[in-house]
Amino acid sequence: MARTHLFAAAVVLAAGSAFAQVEPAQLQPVTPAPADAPTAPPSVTPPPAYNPSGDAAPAAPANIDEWAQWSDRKAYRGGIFAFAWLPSFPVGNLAAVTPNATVHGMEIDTRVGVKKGLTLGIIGSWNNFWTRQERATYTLPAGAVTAQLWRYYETFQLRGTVYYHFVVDRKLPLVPYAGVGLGVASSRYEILAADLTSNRYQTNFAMNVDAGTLVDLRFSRSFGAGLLVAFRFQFTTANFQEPTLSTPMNLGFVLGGYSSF
Amino acid sequence: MKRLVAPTVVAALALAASLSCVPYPSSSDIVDQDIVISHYDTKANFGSYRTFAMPDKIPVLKEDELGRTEVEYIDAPEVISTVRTKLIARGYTEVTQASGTQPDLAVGLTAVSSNIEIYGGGYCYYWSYWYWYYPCYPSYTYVSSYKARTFVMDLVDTKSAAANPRPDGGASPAGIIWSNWLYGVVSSSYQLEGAAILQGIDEAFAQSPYVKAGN
Repeated sequence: MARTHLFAAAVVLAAGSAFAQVEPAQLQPVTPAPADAPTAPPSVTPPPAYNPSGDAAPAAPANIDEWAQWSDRKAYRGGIFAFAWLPSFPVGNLAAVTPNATVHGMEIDTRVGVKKGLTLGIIGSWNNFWTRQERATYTLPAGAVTAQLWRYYETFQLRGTVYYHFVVDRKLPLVPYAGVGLGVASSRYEILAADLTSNRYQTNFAMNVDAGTLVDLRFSRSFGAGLLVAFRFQFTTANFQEPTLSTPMNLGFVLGGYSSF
Repeated sequence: MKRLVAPTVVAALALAASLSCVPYPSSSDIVDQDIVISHYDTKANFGSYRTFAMPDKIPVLKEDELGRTEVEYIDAPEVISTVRTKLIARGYTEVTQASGTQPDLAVGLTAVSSNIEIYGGGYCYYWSYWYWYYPCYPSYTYVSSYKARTFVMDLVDTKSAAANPRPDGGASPAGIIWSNWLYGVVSSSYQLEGAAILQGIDEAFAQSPYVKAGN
């Protein structure tokens, strides 16, 4: 619980920091226009920002209200850099080996808009599942051990991602998205009895399927920062023996913060 | 670049929070555990053996005040009797030196009270992918180093051991067909902890139903 609070505090801290940094940069001085002339578009340099809608930049607006809309539409151009916490639940064979849900996971996510609603990106992630099993006899290759065991399954993954973002309503601060990631996983499977350990490593194919949403905190018109909330299914093709751990899969949450660039 | 500050702060804090909580057994968890590990030679045909010989004392390996290894032989009738009973129950027949009969199997029993190296330059035995952090665990009494507080119980094929002598003339570990390590059952004062060691022997045999004489 304390860990959750710490993370939430970190997100709030980071979000506040982003606000403090982004807001002044957006508001450039505007030259007042003559009272009887149409309001000139402000002489601003729209900030690079995340634009999953991929809409073409509209013509410069004629007044300040249109400027706000124009800025909003420009805001999702570019990409995001995100960091997220990955609380996860093992499923399938992994749940048989390490049945506990885990809070030990995190990722770094970068996405760049390439087409309307579509992003390509890279995710680097880490998950660690573990369990402690009561004293019992467990089979080993050509033997057995009677002990209390700790089991760990740890995976580092690097995946390329494709996400589609659904810009449903500009008035809502939500940008739902869904997509997949494909890449490689370096996995470690450890069985520990006191200070006796068995460590095995494999490098395999990895995949994830995500569905979630970006939550724009609207600190500024730039959509410069927000929260990332998603569900994830993830698996690798790792295959360990004694005891068998085959195609470890997990479901989980992606809870983090992002900043546009 | 300033935009990267926020997620970087999040990353650092979450990383610290998450990594700091990855659970590993505490030192008290380790010390308090009795572990029994058995390992057998997959090429051995346990049903082909008929007889075995028991030692009448158990060597305890320990260090003296100067750090030198010394061996003290102790009487441990309850331990020896338990092993004997288990083997007879599995269909083997005990022979004694007085009978003049060469046994098929020799029973090796050794207690190790501290981390000890017997032979400088000896080798470590890596059993499959199991190993001890440090020092490495031995395959047999005659290998270089031992984990503290361990009781070792082996069955040795006497013919195979005789056919594969060590270069220095010592007893060969080549004939070990069944090796058991009972970890945490020897006290730091070189005493065998009776109940724990007897339970460990029970568990070692329970782990090893293949240790059974042929009909």
